Amino acid sequence: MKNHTQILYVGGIFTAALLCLHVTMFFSFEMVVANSLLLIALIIGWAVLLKRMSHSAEKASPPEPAVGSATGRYIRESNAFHVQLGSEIADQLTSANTELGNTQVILNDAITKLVSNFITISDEVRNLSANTEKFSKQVHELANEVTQKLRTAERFLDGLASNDPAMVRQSEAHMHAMIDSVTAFNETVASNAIDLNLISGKVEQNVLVVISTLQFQDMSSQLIEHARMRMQALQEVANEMAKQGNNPSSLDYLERIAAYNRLLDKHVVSLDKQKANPVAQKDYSSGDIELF
Amino acid sequence: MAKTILAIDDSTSIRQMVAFTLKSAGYTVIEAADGQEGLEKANANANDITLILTDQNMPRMDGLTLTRTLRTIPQFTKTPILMLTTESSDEMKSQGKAAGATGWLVKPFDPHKLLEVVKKVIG
Repeated sequence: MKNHTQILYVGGIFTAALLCLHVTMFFSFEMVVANSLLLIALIIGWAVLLKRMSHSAEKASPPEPAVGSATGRYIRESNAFHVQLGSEIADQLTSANTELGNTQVILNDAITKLVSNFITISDEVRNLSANTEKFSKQVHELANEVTQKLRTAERFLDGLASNDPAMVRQSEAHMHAMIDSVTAFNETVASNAIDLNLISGKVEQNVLVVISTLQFQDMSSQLIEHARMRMQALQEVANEMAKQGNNPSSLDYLERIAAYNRLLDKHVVSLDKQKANPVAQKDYSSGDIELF
Repeated sequence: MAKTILAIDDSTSIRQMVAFTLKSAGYTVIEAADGQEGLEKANANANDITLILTDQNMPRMDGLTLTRTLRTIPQFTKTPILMLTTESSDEMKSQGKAAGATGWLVKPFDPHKLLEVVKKVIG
């Protein structure tokens, strides 16, 4: 606009100079009047032309929206909507992020305690089994010893049989009963030890199954962490939206929209590209093993 | 004398389960919660450690960085390092191999299979 005005001024001065030269060269009253009228007509024409150019320039770059104008109202309302939307999304994401974090902590604590308890139970059962086996052996040795002594006593009684046969038969019956009791006790203890060993083996097997299945905590924890990372990225974008001023100019408004679009692109798109889901497993069957 | 294994994982429950599995087979287990702590414990027990079992995604130092670092330390140039991780992509496995890992085990692990691999690697 400024350049065009300058050209018009220079053109006007140049034309006026040519008309003056024309009057000087062909001086006459009629010529002076005709050239003056021509110059006045040209000045009026230039003035009209300048005014129109000025109007079209104003249309090409409208001024900052005046309060109350339709554009200004649209920008203010749209901006207020974005600020509110950004603020609400940020609040929701903050809550969801916190809740997910709490879930992760609770899950982690619960599984850690569960695993500890299972391991403790397994250790206790293993110890109990080992102790019972040891105890069983001691009982077995003791029972054998007692049985041997009873048999010795039985032989001694046989030697006395001639003196009092009735009493000896009674004593022998008692001793047989004692030997049977000791043998039965010995067998019961041995049988219990075997049963306990079996239970111990089963407990250990179940603990191993538990170990496989409780590993979901590690996987879910990584998935939660990944989801939280995505949420934090969106939260940043929402915070940027919520930051917009109360009465921005149209240029500021467009620049801010561009800014949070850039943030969105930076965080979300690059997040997708850079860090795919860290957990590919779909069930709890054990994963591949590869030795290099 | 029992062989010593360094088990590194940021998940307490996974560390407990790995330790339980290995201890039940008679190994001595040293535990660490991330790559940095793992590196410190590896250096502190360099003469005893016969195998390192590490997770990949951990705070402070990940498993691949730990493996690369350990391979620059003379005592650990030949120590077997097994990665035990949820990561299962071929790209990650290639990175593990390039870093100097001995093997790649994808979680969840089967205790019997873990012991088989450990026995195969260190006897």
